[in-house]
Amino acid sequence: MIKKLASCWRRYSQVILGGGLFLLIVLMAVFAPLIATHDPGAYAMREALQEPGPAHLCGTDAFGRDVFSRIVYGARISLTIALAVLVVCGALGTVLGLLSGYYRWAEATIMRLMDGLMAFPSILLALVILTVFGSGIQNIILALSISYLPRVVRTIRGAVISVKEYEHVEAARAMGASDARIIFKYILPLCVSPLIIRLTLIMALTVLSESSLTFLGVGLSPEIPSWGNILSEGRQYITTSPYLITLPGLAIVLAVLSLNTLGDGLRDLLDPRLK
Amino acid sequence: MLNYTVRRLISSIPVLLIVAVMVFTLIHMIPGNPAAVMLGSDATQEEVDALTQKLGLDQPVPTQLVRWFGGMLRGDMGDSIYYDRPVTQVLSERLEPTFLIVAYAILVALAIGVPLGVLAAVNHNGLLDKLCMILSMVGISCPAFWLGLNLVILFAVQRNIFPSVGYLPLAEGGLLSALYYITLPSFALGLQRSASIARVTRSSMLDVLNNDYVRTARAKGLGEFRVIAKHTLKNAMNPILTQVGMSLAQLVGGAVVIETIFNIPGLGLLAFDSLKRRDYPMIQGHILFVALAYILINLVIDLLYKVFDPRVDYH
Amino acid sequence: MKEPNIVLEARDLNVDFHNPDRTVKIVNNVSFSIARGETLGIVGESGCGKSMTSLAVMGLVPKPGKATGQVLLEGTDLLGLPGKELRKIRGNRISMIFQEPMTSLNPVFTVGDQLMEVFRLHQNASKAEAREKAIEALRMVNIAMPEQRFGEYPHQLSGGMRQRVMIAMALSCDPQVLIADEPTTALDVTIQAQILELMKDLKERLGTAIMLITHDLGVVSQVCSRVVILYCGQVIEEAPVEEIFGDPLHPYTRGLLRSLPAIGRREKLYVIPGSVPGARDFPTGCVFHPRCERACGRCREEAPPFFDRGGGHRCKCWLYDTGEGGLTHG
Repeated sequence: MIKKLASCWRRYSQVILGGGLFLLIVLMAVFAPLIATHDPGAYAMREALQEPGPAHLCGTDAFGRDVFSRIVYGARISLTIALAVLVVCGALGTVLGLLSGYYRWAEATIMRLMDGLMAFPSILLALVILTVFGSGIQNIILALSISYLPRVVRTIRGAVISVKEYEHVEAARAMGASDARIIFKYILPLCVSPLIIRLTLIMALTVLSESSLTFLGVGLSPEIPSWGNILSEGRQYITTSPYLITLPGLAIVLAVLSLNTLGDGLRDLLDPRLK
Repeated sequence: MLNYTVRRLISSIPVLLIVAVMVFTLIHMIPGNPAAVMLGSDATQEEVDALTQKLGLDQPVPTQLVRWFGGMLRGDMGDSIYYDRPVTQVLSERLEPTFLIVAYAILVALAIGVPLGVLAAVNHNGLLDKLCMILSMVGISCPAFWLGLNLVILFAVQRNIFPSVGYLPLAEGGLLSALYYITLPSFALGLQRSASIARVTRSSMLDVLNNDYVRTARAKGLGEFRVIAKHTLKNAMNPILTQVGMSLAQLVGGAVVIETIFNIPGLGLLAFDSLKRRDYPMIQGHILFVALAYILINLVIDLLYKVFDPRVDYH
Repeated sequence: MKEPNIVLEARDLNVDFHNPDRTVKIVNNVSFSIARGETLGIVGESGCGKSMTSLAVMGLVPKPGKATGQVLLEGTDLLGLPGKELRKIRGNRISMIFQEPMTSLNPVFTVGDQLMEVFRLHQNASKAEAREKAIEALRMVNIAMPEQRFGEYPHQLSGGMRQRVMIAMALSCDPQVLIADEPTTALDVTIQAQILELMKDLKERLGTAIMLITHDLGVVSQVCSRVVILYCGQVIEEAPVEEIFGDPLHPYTRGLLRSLPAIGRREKLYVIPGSVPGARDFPTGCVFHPRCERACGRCREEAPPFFDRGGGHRCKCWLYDTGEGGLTHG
């Protein structure tokens, strides 16, 4: 029994640890009003720039706002954006990936476009898109979705190309199944696990990039209490109150770490070839 | 090999073209007249018209595209609006700090990542392996800008060892002082990159360690250190090289954030400022330059494979 | 039967693999000895532990395996030596060539580089000396144009040539013992013959004792003087080569010989029923009993000891129990 548990743990430890941590962060975001000790937007100038302590777990910022509560609420924003990018990027990437993997005519166009996108470092591409369209939650979702699109397309295309040669697909084709039926019934299901792995890692990247962009002042407008904004505001006080940098940053690291660990664990589990 | 290089360069032209068209289209999607945006709200209509004409923005978009291409073929990327000088000239002036930071960062990444990865692979599944992997997982998960800020707190605020902002060009202070100024930003980028290099090194080493020739090396009586340092590391180099290439490409563009934080007048800061200033020719030029760098880095990496593995054949 | 000119002797050699769940015994109390200039064949099907035996002799058992017992090279126990001392012996006084010449040479270094390494390591040769000696070694194994081959990479050589390089490397320090693990298995038949001829020739010239690991009885008949038959990690029969072919005792050995194709014989080849069990489930009693046509109750219950038939011929099988009790040794 213990042996079984131990071997189970060896196999799933990454998924359990990463997934568990991520779940905690999600719960924190969902139940933010219950967890936050203060109103994240409440100014209290008299309590400005207090060091972390029992009254304020992570201290207070220059306006006396409770940093811990702001971090808790900040999770809502980061996770919303990460989830939205997951959906947009996942849906668009899957369609393009299926097309380029299945149809030769689509391959050249789509892959050239993706090559072009790949030649931009993703943060730069997002920066340009945000400058063109302006900052804001929707635009940051759009910008990051476009930046990470090539990765999803390549993943799906790779999977489709290998799956296409499988016998059950050949058999379906021989029996006169329509392309749509082959794609959705026979090919798509086999692309799911690489897609899940890829999207988990993209969520991690999204949290990272969103905070960087916001920190630069092009992502989200300053009134939104996102992690990047908390850091960006704290930067002025780096000499006197370094906790304003270190602690909110840890929230980002933990969120990204949980997703990376989960993605890595899923890869080991679902795709032993890549180990 | 020369043949291969030429073929690769030719085949990269379509990618460059696509990038150029994308950039161009993106810039032209900006609502309103870019000239008006550039000049700000208190410009007169005449000034706006003059700039519109100067930039050729009164022409139809396809004409503008063709013109811009024509210019590029002659090595002319247009003039920066803000600096009122050729884009290529401004770019080349800003190249130095970025180049140094990227090189410094990649050296830091290799110096930390490779030994860590080797150590992990040699102790496969052991405590040290687990520790290295956890460390690198945390490293991958750290935003570079946050690492940079923490380094500033540690080494510039609490102890006054390194400067927290600024840059002293080579021409003014020589290499050492230039490196001194960019130490913190380079370590911030390098530490983060070292994590992925450690992971690649580990998995590549694990592949190589199972090979028969490693057993042969041991059977010859070589010590474990020489077995690892000579008979496996060189064999494990190519995946590491690939990772270095990807890191370099990301660093050239990713320098934006770190240069902004440390206020280093490199390409990244230039791009960021140009975006704020709506200096579109400058941005177009910068992005094309980065794309070109990406292509060249990939080519150089591909050519380097042969150095580590004589079996690589360029056909 | 300790003879004065024994160079290598294994006594009760065991190799165990320790997993968290259980311990697997790959090599079980194997003993054998090789005299100066002799060629000993170690024969068995794949999975019988013959490669692990050779790695144990070299002290190269991979983790998490562990070798216990004794391996005596001219009286020194190699298993007891500290790593540093052992490394001085490896590649110098005892060396090894492997089955796959394709993968046994490091692809990213030149042939010369890999050869020179041995001289630099064991003979403190200068670069120039090592180069001289390396080219000489290539010449010794009949490689044409050794100066040119010296600068080439393994992938530029043919399989036979690579194995010659491996042999040159192994013999470069004039070792007392050469362990050859399936040295010809991966080669074409004609190349095989050449390599065997070369090994025989060099053995006579240099007086090296050879421990030849193989599954191929044909190879054994050509080069070996004595044979040890391994099954499930145990020695089940040992005899001079003429006796093995002329008067095999163990049913397994007989089976092996009957399954050899012979020219001019057209009847169906004999196949030993069943297959070699995995190391995790070696049978109790006599390890061969599940596949043995002559197994009786005792074979299932009790492992047979060695029964000595004289003339260096001994065998682990109850069929030869003469009632006076076997030699339990080894």
